[in-house]
Amino acid sequence: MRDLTAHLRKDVRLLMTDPMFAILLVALAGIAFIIALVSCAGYVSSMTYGSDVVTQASLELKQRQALASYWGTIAGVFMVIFTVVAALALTGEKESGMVRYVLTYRTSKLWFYASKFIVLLGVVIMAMLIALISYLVVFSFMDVPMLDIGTLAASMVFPLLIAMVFTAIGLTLSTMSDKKAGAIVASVAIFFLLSLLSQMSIGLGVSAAYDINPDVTAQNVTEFIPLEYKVLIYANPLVLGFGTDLMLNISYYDHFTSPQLFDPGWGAALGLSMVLVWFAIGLVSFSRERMDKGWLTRIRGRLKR
Amino acid sequence: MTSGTEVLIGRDLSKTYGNRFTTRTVQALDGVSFELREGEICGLVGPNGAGKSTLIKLIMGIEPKDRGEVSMNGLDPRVALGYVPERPTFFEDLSPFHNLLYAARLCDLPEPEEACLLVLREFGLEDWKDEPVVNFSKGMKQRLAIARSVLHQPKVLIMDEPFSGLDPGMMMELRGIMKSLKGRGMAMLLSSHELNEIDQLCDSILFIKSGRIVKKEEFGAVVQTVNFRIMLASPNGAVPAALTGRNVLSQSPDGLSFLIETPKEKVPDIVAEVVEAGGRVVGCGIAQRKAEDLYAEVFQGAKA
Repeated sequence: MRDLTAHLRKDVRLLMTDPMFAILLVALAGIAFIIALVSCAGYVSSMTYGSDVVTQASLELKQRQALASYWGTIAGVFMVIFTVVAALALTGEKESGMVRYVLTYRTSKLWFYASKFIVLLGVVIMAMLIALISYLVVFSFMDVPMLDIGTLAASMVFPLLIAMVFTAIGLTLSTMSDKKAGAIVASVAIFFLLSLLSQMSIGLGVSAAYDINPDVTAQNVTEFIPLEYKVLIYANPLVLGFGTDLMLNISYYDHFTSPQLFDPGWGAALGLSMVLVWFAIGLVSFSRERMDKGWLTRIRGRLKR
Repeated sequence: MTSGTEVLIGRDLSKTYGNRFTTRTVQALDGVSFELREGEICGLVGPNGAGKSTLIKLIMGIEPKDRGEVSMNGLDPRVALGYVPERPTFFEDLSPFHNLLYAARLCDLPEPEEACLLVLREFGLEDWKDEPVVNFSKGMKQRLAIARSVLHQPKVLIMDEPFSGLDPGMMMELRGIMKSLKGRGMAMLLSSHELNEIDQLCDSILFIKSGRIVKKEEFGAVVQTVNFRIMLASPNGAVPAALTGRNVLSQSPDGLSFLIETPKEKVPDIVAEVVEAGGRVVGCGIAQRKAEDLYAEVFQGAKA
């Protein structure tokens, strides 16, 4: 733990002295503000041109929909940004040879890696708070009852999990590349690959479920999705994007466009598992950085003991 | 020659780059063994690609070993080993103080801030302690790298090409620093192509070639073998005959000058033999064998 504290203090100082950090925060605030304005405009438009009688309940529903749309867009932007930011977290130090030098102090690789991850999670949480503040600032200009703090907090759970998983993926990528350009290309490529796979696997999985049972509903569709599609769907962090609608209770319950792939508790557990799995993969990959003995020799030595 | 307890021992160190799945493998080190004693400065000398940097990487645990062991006689490498890499790297946006502070915390020093300030003062970097390292010159970075490596008062300092790219002034300064560290009993393994610096600093030299230690010269012993030059007033046919049995390295064409490799204590005997043979000696002098002579002997098969 003493090592973790040393790494954390250094990583926080590095973050604070990096001019890119301030630029990132300002950029995130700008992006969040623009997305909040777009969501707000959509909300106002739906209220202006809708033919239904306006009630407190319909107002709240429209606000929840606007909030879900806001976090959906924010999550999409944060996925890309935090994959890239995390992919650069280690690459610069690897490129300069600093990682190898630090590891000559025989410091624990787990703590070194964990420190980077904790600091990145801190940045993710800051970004989420900036996004929340942007939403509150923009929506508070309207003379409408605001959603309660519980609903606002609940709406942030899945976007936060998505950003955390993609941060873990980005950090894993940074253990694999010594070049910043390579890390950026890899992170953008993996984002597009996962997006493509997500759409394909959910579409094909739901179609397959429909083939098996034509009476399938949004609620029971997962029971009929074949295992291979289930693996592809649930291993992909983009599946967590379905969680915000569930948390805000605004699912359309259409088995094609909005299948209920999990309940909120299960979804949150899935998201946390993804964070841990990607953290573990990254740590194993990072372990190659400094070794007194090769993998086989180490395993043989442990077996002998 | 240094006599003390061994503080760094390498046994049968081997390393091959490439793996069984690739057709090209390079045997970078092949069964290298060595010892470093307390307070000893040992030069690690060899041509490019001989395995010097690989040996250092294995000692520091940067590369995994295929075979062999590095031990420090029960000392904890984390606190007993200091390292100056060939190209020192830092967190360039941080100040030297914070770079050192991080290292001090990793070494678990009891009063890290005080230790950092002390070492900054000692290495003449106190005035720049809050300046980002990115603004430092190469010489200042080298000084900081050494300061960082000795911050925790290690028993052994491993230095990979510390003189590379330094101007003569900085080289002299660095030599002074290293002599002062030796004065504190710190052992050093110094990889360098600067044979002049090796001459001035080292107690011993490890010659490494194609991944093997081909020779270890204790500099104390080297000093005992000298190149002795004797000059005559006029040629004398009896002198070359008198020197038969001595290792005459060269003789001038006019027969007036002879260069002989000999143990230092035999020099008076040689002078006596030449005089007895009728040679009229007008001058003589001792030239100590230097690292460069040894390098030529080991790697080019030549005698100085």
